Amino acid sequence: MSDAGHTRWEDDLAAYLLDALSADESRAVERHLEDCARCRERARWLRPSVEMLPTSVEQLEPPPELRERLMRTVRAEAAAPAAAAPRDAQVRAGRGWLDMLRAVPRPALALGVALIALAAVAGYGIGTGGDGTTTSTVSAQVDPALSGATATLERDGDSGILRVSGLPQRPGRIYEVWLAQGGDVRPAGLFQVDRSGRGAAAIAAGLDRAERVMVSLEPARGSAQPTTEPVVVADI
Amino acid sequence: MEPEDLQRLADEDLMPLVERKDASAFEIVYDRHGGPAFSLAYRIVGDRQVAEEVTQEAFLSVWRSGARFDRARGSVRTWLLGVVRNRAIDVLRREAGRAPTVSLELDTVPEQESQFEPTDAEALRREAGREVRGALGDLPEDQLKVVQLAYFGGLSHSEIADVLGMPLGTVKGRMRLAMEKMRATLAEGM
Repeated sequence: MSDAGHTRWEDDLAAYLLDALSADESRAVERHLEDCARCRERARWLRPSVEMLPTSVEQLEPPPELRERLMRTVRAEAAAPAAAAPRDAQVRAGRGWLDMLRAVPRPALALGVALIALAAVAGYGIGTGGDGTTTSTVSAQVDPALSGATATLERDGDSGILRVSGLPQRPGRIYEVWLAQGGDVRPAGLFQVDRSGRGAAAIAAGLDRAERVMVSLEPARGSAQPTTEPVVVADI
Repeated sequence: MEPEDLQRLADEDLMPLVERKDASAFEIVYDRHGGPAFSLAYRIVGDRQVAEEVTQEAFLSVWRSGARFDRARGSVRTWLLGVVRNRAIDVLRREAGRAPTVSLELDTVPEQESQFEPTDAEALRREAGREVRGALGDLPEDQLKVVQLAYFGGLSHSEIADVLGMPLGTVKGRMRLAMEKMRATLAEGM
């Protein structure tokens, strides 16, 4: 290939390493790299330029609460990887929450929701952090169409862990957690479930300012606002 | 393995333990890289609370899928910071509902001195950061802008061309020149 031809690839390579190409353009660069030793060597040489960028930012001290929350979640999951599923179940009818949030009076959806965890068990300790922190398990409701699915929200002040089991894996889709208060719905994280249908999402903050925690199935990169009816609703 | 033994392990040797759900190994990984991760998240999202959420989500995703780390493709730190950057850019895009904006100032984030004496590692990290900022500061303004918009703003080259009102080819050319110059500066410092 001529030098002029390679200048084009060299320009694209820099943009590629900076993650500034479209998906199609990135794939074209990757295909070219497979065949071009010169560009592979150039990519190897340039890569440290990108890797130095994160270290160029002013260094801040992360708040100790962040470490505490993170390790509490991690220790809890290490100690009990499988969520304990409450067995008591009670069925109640409900409206779709998208409708409720839009404040549009509509008949109750045909879809009911099963109240799968009735009791709020204050003071139920989780994890092995040994810091005396107490948490509470609050009620969650799961779409009864998902037979056998369960969900619990382990709340710890402003943060918590939502654990689910029995939810189906959906290729190309992802479960998204939402915090809702009045008509305000904020995204609070994404999670997948494993082949057995188990999954968990850490809610880093915001429960103090939320009335409900909900989960809906969204496109793979998540959504800014929910686009489907919830499969899990926990009133808090 | 005792915590003091874990402390002696390299990052790359801690990751298989993280994969096996060793919370103590994960804790060490966080202690080594949580600061740079939070700093990067804050640089991108510009809000401490959101930066905390981004950092927490990124580390939890690492905890839950440590198997995705591939030592053949770089260091643990590079991989971790890549996870943090992707999450932060996702948040920017999701919250803005459009391409994110980014400050064009080099030093928009004031360095916050800890109330504690920095550890040796922390002091080294800050010194390295200052050197890298110096290398970036040596870039011509037009090259610095395209790099910052791409890396910290998550903008594609075509979005950058729109923002700066310049041809796409010019944007890509400046990216290339900037990276070559940064690389040369790095080589000089070695």
